[in-house]
Amino acid sequence: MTSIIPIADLTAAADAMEARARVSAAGYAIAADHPGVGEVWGIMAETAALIIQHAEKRAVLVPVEEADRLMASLPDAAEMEAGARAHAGDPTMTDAGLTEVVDHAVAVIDVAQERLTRWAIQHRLNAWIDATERLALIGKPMAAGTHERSEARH
Amino acid sequence: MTESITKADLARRLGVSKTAVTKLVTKGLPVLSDGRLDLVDSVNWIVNHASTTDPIGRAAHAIAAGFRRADDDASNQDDGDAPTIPDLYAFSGFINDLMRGRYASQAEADKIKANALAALRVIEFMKTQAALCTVKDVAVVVGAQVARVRTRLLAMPVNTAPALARTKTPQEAYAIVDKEVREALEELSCHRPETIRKLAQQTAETK
Repeated sequence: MTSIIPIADLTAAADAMEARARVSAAGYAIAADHPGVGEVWGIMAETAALIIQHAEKRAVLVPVEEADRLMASLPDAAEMEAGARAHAGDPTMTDAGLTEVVDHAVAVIDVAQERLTRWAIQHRLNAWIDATERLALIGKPMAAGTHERSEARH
Repeated sequence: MTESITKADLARRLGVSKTAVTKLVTKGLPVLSDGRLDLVDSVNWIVNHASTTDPIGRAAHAIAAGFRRADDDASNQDDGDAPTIPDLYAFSGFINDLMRGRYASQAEADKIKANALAALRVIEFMKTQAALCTVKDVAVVVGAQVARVRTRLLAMPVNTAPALARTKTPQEAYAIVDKEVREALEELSCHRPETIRKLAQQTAETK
């Protein structure tokens, strides 16, 4: 059985990942300022700043195609209509039955609204998870291939 | 430990633009007599004045947490040995480890930086080509649409009650409810691609 992460926890996770990425980037900047470190640390700090800039944009921007898919999938119309029909087709339908139809339809709408909220937070979380992973690899030797694969995803 | 830094340095450490730091100065961020900033005082000021929902506030909170960890680490050292790197560095453990160990060559670092720059340029290019829209805009548009339909559905009993009261068979009632639900659904599921394209165009026109 799949458990659904509460929205508050998802938001906290996105905040935590963003904070972690910013701390990592700040760490590179501070390390680059350390007397006696090589020029390579300056390059790593600049790379870290670029990764943060990229994540900031990725967290708030979404490809048009993805937005199209989201809009097309909200709500689950078939589910909503089936529920409404089941109630409306009941020969014993009364005022209480109509309330059930409305309750069912509103419940589906609420699920759609939650799906939208969850999608926006998940989008932000993904951007910062990716940034954190990339930041962790900046300074690792032989990591260039990994980075190329990571960039190719975007 | 205090360290005086430039506005550009602070911006870099917070992962924000220099303009963002300059704005904070206009809001009261303390500046030293030589125009520079005290790192610890600046971070503490931002922690006290910026919201954690703001990226600059979150970054300052994270760095302040690092300061506290560094202080804790320093106070827990009972052998009296000075840390090999300044306390400030301790808040980023993996950087510390990296500095002590083997890290990327300049050629590797250059390549990684070029890749990071390319990724950033791609996203900037896509934005100018109206291939991206903001998550916020999408959420506002879809959210408003969902809210409209929700309101309409909640009003359905009131709106259909007179007609339902006049029905004589379940089939008649079915037809009325079915029509209402269908119309509400059509409003919600009526996806207009041009709405998203318009949002993307607006996004492309913003800086």
